[in-house]
Amino acid sequence: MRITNSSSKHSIRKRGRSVDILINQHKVTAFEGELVSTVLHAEGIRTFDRKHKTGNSSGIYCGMGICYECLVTIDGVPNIRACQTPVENMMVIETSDGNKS
Amino acid sequence: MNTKTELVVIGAGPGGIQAAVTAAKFGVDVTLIDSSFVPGGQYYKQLPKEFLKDNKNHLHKKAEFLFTELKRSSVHVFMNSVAWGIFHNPKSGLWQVKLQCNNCSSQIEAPIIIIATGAYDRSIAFPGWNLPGVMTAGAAQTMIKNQGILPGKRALLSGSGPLQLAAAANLVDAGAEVIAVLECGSRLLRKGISHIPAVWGQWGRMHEGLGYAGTLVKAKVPYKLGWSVIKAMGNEKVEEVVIAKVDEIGKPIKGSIQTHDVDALIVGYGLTPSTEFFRLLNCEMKFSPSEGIYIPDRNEYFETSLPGIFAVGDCAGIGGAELAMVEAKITAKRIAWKLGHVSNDQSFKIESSEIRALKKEQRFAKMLGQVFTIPQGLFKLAEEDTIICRCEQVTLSEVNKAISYGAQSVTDIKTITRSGMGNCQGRTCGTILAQILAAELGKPVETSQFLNIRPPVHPLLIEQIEENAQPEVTG
Amino acid sequence: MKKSATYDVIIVGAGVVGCSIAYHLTKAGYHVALVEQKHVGTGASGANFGMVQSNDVEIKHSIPMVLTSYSRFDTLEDELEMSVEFRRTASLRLLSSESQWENSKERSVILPKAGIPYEYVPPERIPELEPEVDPRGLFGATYASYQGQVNPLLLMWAYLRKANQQGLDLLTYTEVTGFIIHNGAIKGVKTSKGDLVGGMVVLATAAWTRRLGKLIGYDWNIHTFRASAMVTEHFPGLKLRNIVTSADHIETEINGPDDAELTVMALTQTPEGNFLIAQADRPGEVLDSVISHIAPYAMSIMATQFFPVLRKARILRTWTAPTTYTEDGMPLIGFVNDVRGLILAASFRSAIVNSPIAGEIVTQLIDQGYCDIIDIKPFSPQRKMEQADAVYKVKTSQSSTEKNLD
Repeated sequence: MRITNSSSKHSIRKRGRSVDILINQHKVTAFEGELVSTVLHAEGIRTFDRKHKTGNSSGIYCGMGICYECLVTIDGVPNIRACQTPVENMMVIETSDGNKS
Repeated sequence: MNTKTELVVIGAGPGGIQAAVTAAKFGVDVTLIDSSFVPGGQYYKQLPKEFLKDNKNHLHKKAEFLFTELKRSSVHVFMNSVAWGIFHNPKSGLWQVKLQCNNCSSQIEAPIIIIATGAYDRSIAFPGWNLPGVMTAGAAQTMIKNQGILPGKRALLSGSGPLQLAAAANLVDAGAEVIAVLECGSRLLRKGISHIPAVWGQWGRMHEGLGYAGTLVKAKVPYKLGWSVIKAMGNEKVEEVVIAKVDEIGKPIKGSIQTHDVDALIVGYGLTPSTEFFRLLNCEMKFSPSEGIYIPDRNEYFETSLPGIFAVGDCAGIGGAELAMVEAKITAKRIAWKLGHVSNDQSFKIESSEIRALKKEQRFAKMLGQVFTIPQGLFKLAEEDTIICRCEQVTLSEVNKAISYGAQSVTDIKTITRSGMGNCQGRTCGTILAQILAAELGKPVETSQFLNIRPPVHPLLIEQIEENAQPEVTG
Repeated sequence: MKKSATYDVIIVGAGVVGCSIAYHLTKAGYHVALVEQKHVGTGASGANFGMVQSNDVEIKHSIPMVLTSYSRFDTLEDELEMSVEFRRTASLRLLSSESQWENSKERSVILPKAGIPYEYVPPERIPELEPEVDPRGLFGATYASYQGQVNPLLLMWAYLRKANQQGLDLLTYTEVTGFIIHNGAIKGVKTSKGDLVGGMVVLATAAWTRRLGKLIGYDWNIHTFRASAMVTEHFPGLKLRNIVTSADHIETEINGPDDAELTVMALTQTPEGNFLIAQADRPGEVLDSVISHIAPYAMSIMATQFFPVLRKARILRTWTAPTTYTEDGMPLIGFVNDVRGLILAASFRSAIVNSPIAGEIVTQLIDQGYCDIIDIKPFSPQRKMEQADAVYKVKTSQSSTEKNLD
């Protein structure tokens, strides 16, 4: 849901360079300057992580890196806050639901 | 990597930047640290630098001015650096801030630290608050303003205070359908009028506020005074919200309940100060009745009970960007004088103009706090199976069990239930626990005390702690 | 709080010992107040590893007490009707050199005779006890199978929950500022929230005992040091069967040789799979809970020296708390001679394993004036301390560094 409404002052006319990333093994095009949370949200993904104790799903809540609800695995490293991580070319992102997503 | 400097400023929001540039002007060697990618904090959110090629920041003139000053100054700026602990090094006699960037660990030592870590959205717990799609006003603002992405196509906002108006207006402007904006304070108008004197002189703000209101009026977005969300529902993401009119103490009024389909619920119940470092260092904390939380005790120069540790801005009590900058100027000047950068025959003096500016901003902040308080009933929306501590998935039922065992403070609840022992060390659930406990015991929320917080304030891998080289350690 | 509220017994200090005493006394029908300067478990009990250990017992006089108390854990959860996550486990101490084994030789003879299994294990046998340990380069290990693990926080609250049901007045965030003594008898305590009246006062105050004693002219010979630990999130990459410690240590000078930190490795896994990693110790009669800038690093490198896989574990928080030791390794339990009604129950090694018996002992002292469960004369608060087994010595500028966390 990137803002494309061109009359909106918040529409980003042109984002950074496009990058190719993998989200749950699917190839996705994103743009430099975007956060991992942005790209996941734009792809319609709302469940980023599942709580170990209950299996409850979690995603973006505070948007500023203090709630730890938006954790994903990036390049094999788990528990990375998606809202604090900008995308990079060839980045491999996995959410808790992995292939099911 | 170890470095020494004269002043470390933690947090590059308006307060932190102002403190850094002011001190640097006096000749102080300043290092400014922030965990984000670009300075500005939450108030002056800049676009990512990759977007700036073809887009413009829509910022306050003041913000642009501040960023330019920072660029031109001698301040060493460390962005993308998470300060995870502040320690005292008895060998050097200095304060030591340990940092973690993506690939490197380091520390910086200085005799003086200014903590300007700002604030974050205050949470209230209600059934379904932890569903994906339910997010804070701050998160929504970041998504729209910084990333150009819509939180949802059909959104409802619930909370209290002017930040909600801004978020709602931005949503409308970005093309979302905003079902309603709910303001839980029902006595807003009555309370508001008595505070007109505090608003005097805040024309810039009023102009901004009117602008947001205008956008909402034009889009015919209902602004409902005395209403709140009471439940969010959906299959692993928010799909429906239940809202109700609430009485003066925040209790939902039967018969007023409505249900709406949404794909985003934006909650904005005000801000709470980021007091992590003060609690970590065991600074004296005092209870702020107007805000209902503990803040660091500061003297007139904004120094905490620990010599050399100063606090400016929202992290020491919510007051907004303007107040933060006024405090920052006074603090920086004081520190420059302490470090000997102001000529010796001058005794330290705060200018009367600075005092006036301070009082003006304090009045406004106080007014906002009094007008936009959260009625007690909203702290009772949670049901037995509502998650209170999200990190450890502790339910209200378990919290109540802890209280039945005899818990007298939030730390007692933490001890028994593990609330606050997860990743966020209680940032999200701490204020909620304090309210639940106080309500259950029939005591003022001050008696709930506050949670301890320990380094690292953000979790670190052991290998990252190891990389923090310690030349003194021997085998 | 009612001013001048009257109690049969006032206990100071809501750590694991104070909570146990509160439980036992209220069970016996006494009207009790438990006064705590901050929250329950503010001191060492709240920073505790949770080891229910008998292998570091002071050898000359403390074995009967530790053995008796340890046996109470068999039925404790049933008695308190609450889980404290107690499980029997063994403790494995990794030895890098023969000289490290020399320090434990006396123990290896005496403890088994007393019913506490304790043996030397050669390196080739280590993997069968703990598969994740790489035995190459090790001289061997000491293996103590009669140990246990508990959640110390739940242990305190299991005692308190029952005590509260039995009529305890729990007064947290209430600091004791003085004692009320008339004609050589204690009459109560002064606190930050008013006076409390009581004919019996029990100090279960660990690191704060000495400071409180000075208010009434006593200088009980209890030494304080700060012990640090840290916890990881649940980490499935490592599974330990035992509590694993090492005899190796790092010494770190912070501000000269008298301001040093001594770090050994101690590792245990909680039921949820989190790792508790300890332990960095700093001498100095300091009572705050502020961790040094060295401790997290020192504990990290000690742990990964033995378990490199832990490099990828996430640390959620580190902490430190003041704890105690005495030169002869024995606690101070009993009446204070010249102040009728004043009882000490401080500086146990260790507090967790001795918490059940501490509650019983103090209850007997108050009930009948003496203890007949075990002989507590050696623990008299009036005693002159002789250095018995040198089980714990923290580095000073003269003596060498030694640590026997066993």
